[in-house]
Parts: sequence; C-alpha cells; structure tokens
Amino acid sequence: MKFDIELIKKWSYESNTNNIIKYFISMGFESFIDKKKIDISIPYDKKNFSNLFHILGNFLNLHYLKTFYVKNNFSNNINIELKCPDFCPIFYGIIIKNINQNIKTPNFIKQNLLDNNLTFTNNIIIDIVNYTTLITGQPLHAYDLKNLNSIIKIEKINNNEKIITLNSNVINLNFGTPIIRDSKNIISLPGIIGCHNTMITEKTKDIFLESAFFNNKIINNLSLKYNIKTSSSLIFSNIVDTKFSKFSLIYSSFLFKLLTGSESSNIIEKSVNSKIFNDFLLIINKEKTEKLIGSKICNHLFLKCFKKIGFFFKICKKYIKVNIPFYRTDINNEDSFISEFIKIYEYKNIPCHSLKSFSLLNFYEHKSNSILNFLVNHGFYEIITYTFVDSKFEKILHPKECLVYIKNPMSEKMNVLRFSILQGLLKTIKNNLNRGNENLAFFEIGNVFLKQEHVIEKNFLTGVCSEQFILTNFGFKKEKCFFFIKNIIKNICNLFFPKKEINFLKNNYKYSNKNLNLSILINDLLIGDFCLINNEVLNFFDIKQNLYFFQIHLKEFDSDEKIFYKKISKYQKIKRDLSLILENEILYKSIDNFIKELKINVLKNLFLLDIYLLNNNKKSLTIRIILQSLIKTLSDDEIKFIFTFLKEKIKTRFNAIIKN
Amino acid sequence: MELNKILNLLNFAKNSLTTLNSLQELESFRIEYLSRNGVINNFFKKIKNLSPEDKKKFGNIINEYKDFFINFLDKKKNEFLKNEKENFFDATLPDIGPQIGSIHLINKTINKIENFFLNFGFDVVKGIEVDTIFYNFDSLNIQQDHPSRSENDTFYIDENTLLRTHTSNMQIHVLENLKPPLKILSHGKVYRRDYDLTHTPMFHQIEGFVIDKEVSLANLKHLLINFLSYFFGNKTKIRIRPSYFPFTEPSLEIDIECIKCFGKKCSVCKFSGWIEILGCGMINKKILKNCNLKSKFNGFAFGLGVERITMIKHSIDDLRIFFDNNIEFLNQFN
Repeated sequence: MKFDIELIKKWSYESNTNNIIKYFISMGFESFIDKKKIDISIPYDKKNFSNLFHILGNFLNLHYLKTFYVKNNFSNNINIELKCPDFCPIFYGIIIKNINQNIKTPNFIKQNLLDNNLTFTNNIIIDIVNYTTLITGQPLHAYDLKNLNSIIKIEKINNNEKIITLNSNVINLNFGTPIIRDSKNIISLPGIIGCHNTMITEKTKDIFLESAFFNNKIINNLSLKYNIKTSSSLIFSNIVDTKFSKFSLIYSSFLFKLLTGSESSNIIEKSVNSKIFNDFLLIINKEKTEKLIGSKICNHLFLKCFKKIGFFFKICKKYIKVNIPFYRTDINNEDSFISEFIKIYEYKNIPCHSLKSFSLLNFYEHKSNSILNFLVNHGFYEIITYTFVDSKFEKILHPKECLVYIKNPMSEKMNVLRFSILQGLLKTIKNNLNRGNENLAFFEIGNVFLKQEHVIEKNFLTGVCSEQFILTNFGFKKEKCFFFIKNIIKNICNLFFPKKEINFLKNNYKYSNKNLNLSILINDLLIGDFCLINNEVLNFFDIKQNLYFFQIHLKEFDSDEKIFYKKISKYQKIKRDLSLILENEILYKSIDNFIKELKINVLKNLFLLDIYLLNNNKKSLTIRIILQSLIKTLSDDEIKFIFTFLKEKIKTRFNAIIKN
Repeated sequence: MELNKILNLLNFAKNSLTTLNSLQELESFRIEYLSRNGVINNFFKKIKNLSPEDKKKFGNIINEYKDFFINFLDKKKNEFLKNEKENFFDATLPDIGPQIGSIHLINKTINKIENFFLNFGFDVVKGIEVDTIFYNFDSLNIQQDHPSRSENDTFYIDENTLLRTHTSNMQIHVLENLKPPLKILSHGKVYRRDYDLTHTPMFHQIEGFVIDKEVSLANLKHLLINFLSYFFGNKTKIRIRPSYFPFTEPSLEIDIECIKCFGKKCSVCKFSGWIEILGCGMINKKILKNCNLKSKFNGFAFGLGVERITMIKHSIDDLRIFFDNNIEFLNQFN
C-alpha cells in the first residue's frame, strides 16, 4: 500500500517520518520512503489490514477522529430490519442529500486510489466511498435514494429470484441466499455487489450510504457460488473490524459536505447480539513464552508488553487469559500471539545463546570439490545454465529420449527439462564466441531429468572444451586432443570412483563423431561418455570450432574397499622398448590386455611410447615394458628370456613384425 | 689383444683429451672410457688371466691412466662451467600453460556458507528439484488460495508435480526420514515464473533448520548473527524485524546495514539504509505435527537467496549475469 507521508502524519500521533517507518517495520510491515509517500508491504496473513487505520494500529490518533463531526440537517426516515442476524448482526446507514456531482474528484483522493490499485471513476460519490474504505477499512455501499423505499430488510430469500447487478449481469439467486431489499425489490447482494435498480448515476443527487458487518464465511461462499469477486467481497471475506463502521459514515459525510456542499441526516443503527463478535479466548503460559524466546522476562515487563498489545487480559496463577478480538484472524493460537508479543518486546532484546545439541557425526565428503579443483586447475570454468531448455534442440541431441515437458513454460525456448547439460554448454560456447572470447573450456555439475514412470533426477558432471583450448594451452598436436580429454576423464573417475575398474567402449550417440567417441564404464556400469561433437550438431548451433564433450553421472558407489599398502621393491627397474608393426585395426587396448594376461609376475608396468601410421594399412607401435622383481635384481638371462617369450607371443597372436 | 695395443689405445685417449671442447664431449669421453662397460674396465677384465706380476704391473699403469683421466675431466669440467658464456635469455616473456579456471561465483558462495554451518555441526542434504504439490505447498501450511500456487507463479509438470519454488520441501522429506535432534542444511536450484532485472526463473536458495527439545529464538539469533558477521564482516550492523511466512511462527527477517551507503540511505537500499538478507522463524507447530514429531520437539528454520546475497557482497547489479556464463565475468572471481 502507498500513502502520502502528510496523510499518515495527519492520522497518527507521530510526526517524525523515521519513527513512523520504524513503527511499521516493528509491526511487521516492511516500509520505505518513495518520494513523498510511504510504500508499505502487507504480509499475507494480515490481509484484513489493507487500510490505513489498521496499519497505523496504536499510532492511530483517536483524538483526531473525534474532530470529525456531522451536523444533522434532517432526520433519517429509513427503517432497517435485520432478519438474518447470523449473516448481518449490525447495520449503519446515513442519508446524504444535494450532492453536486459537477465537482471533480480532488487530487488527494485520486492519487491515493491509484497508488493502491483501486478504481478511480472520476465520479465524486463512488470515489469518496472508495477512499473512505481505503482509510478506515470498512466497505461502504451507496444507493441512489430516488429509487429506494423507506424500508431496508436484510433477509434470506424464500424462492429463487433474479437480480440485475450494477454491471448489468443477470444472476439467478437460489433459495436461502441473503439479500438486501427495500419494500419492493432486491437492491443488493450484500457485501458483494449492488443492483442496477439503485446504482449511482451521473444524475444522482441524494444517496443512502450503508456501512454494515456481514459474516465473512457466508460472503466467501456466496462469492464462490455466484462467481463474483469485488473489492468489497474481498474485504468482507477477510472479516471487518466493526470499530470504525460508524466512523466511516461520519468521515464520508464530512468529505461529501467539504467537497460537494451536501447535507446529511443522522446515522441510523440497527444491531443484534451475535456470537460472531465473541472474542477468542487464548491461554498464554509465561514459562512457555520464555522458553520460546530463550530468556526469562520479568513480570513487570511481561505485563507492560501485554498492555501495549491492547487486548483484554486476566492474570491467573500460572497463566494469562487473553481475549483475542474476533477480527484478528491472524492470531489463532499461542504461537501467533507470542509473535505479536515479541513485536512489542522487540527482537533486539532477545539474547544470543548457542545451541546445546550436537548433530550426528558429520562426514559430508566434498568429493565434488576435488573434481571442481581438478578441472579449474586445468583451466576449465564452472558455469550454471538453466534447467529448462528448448525442446527443438533437445530432440536433435537426444532423439530417442522421453523428455519432461513443462505444462506452463515461460516461453517455447524453455519448455522442457534438460535431458543433458549439452545444450546449455553449446549455447554458452556460442555466446562466448560471439563476444570474441576464445580458448573456451566449461563444465557444470547439475541435475538432468528423464521421464519414466515418474520424473527422475540424476546428477551429472558435464564439460565441453574447444580444440583450440587444448592446442593453445597444452601444446598437443591435433590428433592427440581426444586423448587429452580421455586423460581428464580417467583422472576424474579416479577422483570420484577411487579403486573402481574403469573401461571404455565405442558408442554411437547422435551428437558424437563416428570415430572419436567412447562410453565410460565403472564396474561394467555405463556412467557417461565423451566424444568430439560431430559437424552436424556444430552446424546446427552455428559453431565453427571443434568441440570436445564429456559427461559423467556422479553416481555414488558403495565404497567398501579398503586400500592396503603394497610393498615397494628396492631392486632395479629394467626398461625395454618393444617396437611392433601390425595391422592398423588392432586396438592398442587388446595388446595391453594380452600382455597383462600373460601374467608375467615381474611385469611392473607398460605404456605406449610412440605410434605412427605406415603405408599399407599398418601402424608402428613402441611399447615400453618395465620389469622389476620384489626379491632380487633380474639377471641378463632372465630379462632376455622374458622378452623372447613376449615377442613370440605377440608375433603369433597379432601377426606382428617385431622391429630390432 | 696385445698389451702394447692397450697402452697405445690409452695414449691415444690421453692425447685426445685436449680436443674435448664441451661438457657433452667430456661426458662422451667419460662414458666411453670410464663407465662400467667402458674401455678401462674392459682392460682390467683382459689382464685377469696374466701372471700375478704382469697383472700388477699393467694394473698399475691402467690405474694411472684412469686417475689421470678422472682428474683431467674434473678439471676441464670446472673450467668449462666457469667460462660458460651466458646466452641471452629473456625471462620476462609471458609464461606458457593454461590460465587457472574458476568455480562459479554462486557455488563459491554456497561453499562459503556451507563451511560456516558445517562448523556448527550441520549436515548437508541434497535437494529434489521436481516434487509434488504436497511437499512444496500443502505440508508447509501454505493455504490453498495463496497466490504462489497459481500457474502464473509456479512451473507445473502436471496437476500434481511441479518444479519446487523453495528449498523448504526438503524439510518435510528429512523429517519423514530422520529423527531429531537434527541440524540440516539444504541448498539448490528453485524455480519461479518470473524474469526481469531482479528475478530469473531459476535461482538458488540455501535453507537450514534445527529440530530439538527447547530450541529458542535466542539460539536462532545467535546462529544467524554469527553467520552474518562471518559472511559480511564483524562490523556489519544487523536489524531484526517481524515478518510473515506460512511455515514459521513467529517469523522474522534479518537486514544488514546497506554496504554501499553504510546506512546513510541510497538507491541500492531503497533509501531505507537497510538491505534484507534472510527470512527465518520458529517452525510452525502444524508442520511438526504433520510429520508425527512429539510435542516436546520444536525447531527453527532459515533461508536465503544465494544470488541475492552474492550480488550484495560483490556489488553486482544484474541477476541475469550469473547465467550468461560470460568468461569475462567468470574470470573475475577465480
């Protein structure tokens, strides 16, 4: 809500703006100054506080209210009959005559209505009525007196009846619906909308102004039943405080007189006793309040705060009985009352005490951090991309997958949950290239979503880097770039899945290059893949650089393996290089596996030293073999024997030529 | 091989010493003559089968040559090292190798916040991003007509499933599966249907809660004041004010003094002198009851927006920059 600072000062005891703001904030209404106005946020649970009087609360200058006085120029001859007191137990009315409708609505009314998103009609009668409601919180309704008879009854209809509303809609009212009628016709659906027959027009000079209380639950039901929501029905649904019902008529008649020169009658009042107005009794336990706050409060201070809240209370031995006014629906239990109490007690007076309890043993492992640090140290930047992506692109990257669609996306370009993070990464690369940024390497750890019986979330590490990034930063040749990525994958897998068997297999994903692609398996379980992105996808995203992509499902495996020390040999290592010429199609992995399966127990390690292609579909490999015994230095003869055995086996198995 | 030939070879080697002009040549000479399989050792092997007298005689001669070679090589090596000319080398050339990358600023903030609460004994729980209306709204005491439930504000997958609008759904998941005492921190992505300078449809929240016997507002205040001092600095002024959240009662919000104008009022703090940082309060008893917790337990909860707190700390004025992933932005925080 927004009000002029001067308007607020006029109605309150306080003249200092900062003190006013402090008070609002202490009461839970976040406020700040916006030019010459105060912008006030009303919390959801205080919907019935959407008017100036209730916001001001204890700051409301009740003496100022008394200065408004209406001289009765004539008597009010309208009879009120309350025939359904469970619905309407109290009704006030005033007649205002000789209203000059040629007067334009003054700016202070217009601006306050507009600032608070209320209808400004430029009809002085309707605007004064709406303005009064804004200030006091009491909805008023104006009837054209010319079309009104002298009896007003609030009753429930005995038959189904039709009405035509202010906005010319025809509504069929069912038996039992509460209505307001004069001696002839129904003149309003009370608390919700008036009827066409008594509506205010440009020609209206005399009005009957109604200020009443209607049962909020019944209003709510009627509003839903007949599908009508108006500003009045919304206020009545949240319950109205009758404290200002009569004053609202006094104030509005004052404004009418001031602005239009009109005359007023006395205010007629009709009321019956009703349980609706019964206060709600709450038992407050002082000890409990102290426990919640976390400190003892002296009795004197405790009672002082109670008094400031303004509710009637009675002190008993061990507890206090508090009468919660009927309209304070936000206070319905001990905790909500204590909330109000603390506002008066003030949060700054609550001490600071550390928690006594300890949680269970905390072994939160930052495995993800080790991956983050590893990639960052290799020059990768972590990014965060949106979870929702364009289904058009996602279908191209993952044509066979069942995507999770959002029922109400913000746009068609963000209408599915991502099946992988690839789309986000490609778009990030594209955006950075457009900005002239080069040598790009990004990664993201986040959830991806797939549709099975339910939506399933999986946590993936996904990364992409340009070929240029590898060439520039690591000095590799182009043909080695894929193996650089393979090294990254292997190291990440060792970090996240320690001591697990890592294997690679060729795959065939829609986005991967036919040759440069591998799936990653941990303990024979597929957990990810990496590849050179194929040109078709790059063209689609309009990216003119080669990109390498990888993704790993960060699945938790049971870590039941213990690591034991392996004795280190103190004897000399023997290094020998084995050079082979063999068919190009023979995979390196098969040679590696074959040598290891020979189970040469002094074989410590072997790795590829060099490889190059020859003519005639053959390649030359040089493998370094490292031998070492745990118990002795190997003799020349033993070494010679092992290598002869190895060469023969390789020659036979792979039809290889062993180079001297 | 005749012994004279051995001596001739050694003489030849001795004469060739003067022709050695570099450290590499000295090393080559050493390997050829003085190594395990070198000439000198081979000569010793050859004289093994001679008579003891001849063995002694030739052995002494070979040793003399050996000693001479060793001394000469050492001396020459020192000379070479001393006289080695310094080739010009420009060490001020730029380094070679990749520049260090960075962790995303949002995750850095999350890690920093996590570290604080881990030190207080909190456990961290991963979040579920796609959840049901029950966990996101109903179980958190959010009324049926609350505006946040509408399709204008929340992303729905179907009638019952949505993208979570806050991390509070994890409170209920945890309370259903774990027993008190509990100190839990949860963080992750949340989704709301809004997009402008200060709102994105996806952002991050961190939420924590404590459930135990006789937990009080004093405990909550102690924890959060310490957290804000840790995060923003010890001299940070703090203000606590009442507020409203459906899942806490009493509810409060904590503000810090504007770090731009230090409370003197500016556009950043909307001329109030204060910036809202986090919301918190005692967990509404209805929620605890719905999770079948005995009445002897109570608790408090707190939550904050990660992007917001990051923007305040680093004076970032546009929320959307976090998701542009421009390398020039990412580079500033490595």
